Amino acid sequence: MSTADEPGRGYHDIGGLDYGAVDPVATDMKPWERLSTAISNALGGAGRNYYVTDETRRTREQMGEPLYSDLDYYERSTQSMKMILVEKDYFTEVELEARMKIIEKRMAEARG
Amino acid sequence: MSGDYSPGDKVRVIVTHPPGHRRTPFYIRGKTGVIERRCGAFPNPEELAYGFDGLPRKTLYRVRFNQKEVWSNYEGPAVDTVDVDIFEHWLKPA
Repeated sequence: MSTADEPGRGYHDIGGLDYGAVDPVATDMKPWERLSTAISNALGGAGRNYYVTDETRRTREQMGEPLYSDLDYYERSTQSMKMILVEKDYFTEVELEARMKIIEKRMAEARG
Repeated sequence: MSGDYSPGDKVRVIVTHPPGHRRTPFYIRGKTGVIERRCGAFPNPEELAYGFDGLPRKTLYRVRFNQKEVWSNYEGPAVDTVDVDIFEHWLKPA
């Protein structure tokens, strides 16, 4: 039986491992998932060409197994996009954190 | 070039586990199959993954494997196959 901790097997490279049957039920994308996908497409190879698909696959493989396992599909996609944009110096982690705080504050004010 | 293959040629996927972004799945490394078709030549995704241009292009082959060869515990019909797209530098003549 194959196991996930065979030497040389990446944590993402799970073909043939026993994770049971795939659940074929389609679920609607949440609004943030749509937005993130739209941004990713606009910045990627079909848009501004800041990165290509292969780079976002590579960052998924670089984020580390604990994080990779904790995140769902769209969270991984968003995380990998962020890693690439920071790597290419489009913005820094510090700038991103600062911007997120501004947005959180604005949303809190909007809610009243 | 690690080989110029034609449909019907027997090939073996090399066994190596280098770090980095690799497009050849773990489960198919070391397995022997037959060239089904030549898919074309594409920028190397293992280089594109790091922001480089992926040139020179690498030839991508569709390789057909017997399921019993791939999975030691396969219980389906002996004629079952699986096709995997594999770049030239992962293949050796078998």
